[in-house]
Amino acid sequence: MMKRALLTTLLLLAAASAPAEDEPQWLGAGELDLAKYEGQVVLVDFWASWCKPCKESMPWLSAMQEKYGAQGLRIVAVNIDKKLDSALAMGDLLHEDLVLVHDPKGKLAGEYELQGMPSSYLYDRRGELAASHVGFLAAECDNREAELAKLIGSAEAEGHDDSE
Amino acid sequence: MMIRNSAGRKAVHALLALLAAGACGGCASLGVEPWERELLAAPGMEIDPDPLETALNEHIYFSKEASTGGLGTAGGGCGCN
Repeated sequence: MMKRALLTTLLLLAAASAPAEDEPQWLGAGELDLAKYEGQVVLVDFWASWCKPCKESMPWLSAMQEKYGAQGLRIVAVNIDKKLDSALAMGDLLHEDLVLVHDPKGKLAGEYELQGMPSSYLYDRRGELAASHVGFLAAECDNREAELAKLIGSAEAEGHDDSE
Repeated sequence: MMIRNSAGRKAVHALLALLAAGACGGCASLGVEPWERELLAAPGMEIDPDPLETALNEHIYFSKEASTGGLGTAGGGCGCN
């Protein structure tokens, strides 16, 4: 009887501590391996909850992931908040397919030698750096999307090329 | 006081060289990196973190101290401006 109660308690504790299925998974700064996404267009975006333009960019990034994810776009959102709680508070803005990385000590940020916030780096399907941007302006969204679409090779990019 | 001893002079030169090197390199790592600006970005770090309070303070100052000049028209300090 005692054993049964103990087992039940342990099972309950395990269930309570296990992450929920729909809870986003965060990678550590050392766990990010861009080689995993070879063959996909990868956008690495550095953001923080204290950075206003970063907050403004999140809905756009999520929209891009939603729109082009199936065609091979993978957005890696690297958060540099000291505490993950600050980033989690913005959970509603994060698309479920974003690759989420937490870099509280600025390890990746230092490696990329960021010049400002937010900063983003766009890699083509061969893994070569195609473009980088510092800051976020809503007025530039169309150009940024065209740049993405061109690399992805979507019909939308062809449309942009025709109009030029 | 003159330092006649050559060893003492060398020590002074070494000290001066050390100070000069320190002065040159001392400012090499000033500034915060873009990803370290969390505290600087806090609302309390703005030049005017609370515009409403600033407006009230300025109104009180204007009302009480205007006769001494500096903030526009003269007033009697009655607080009625």
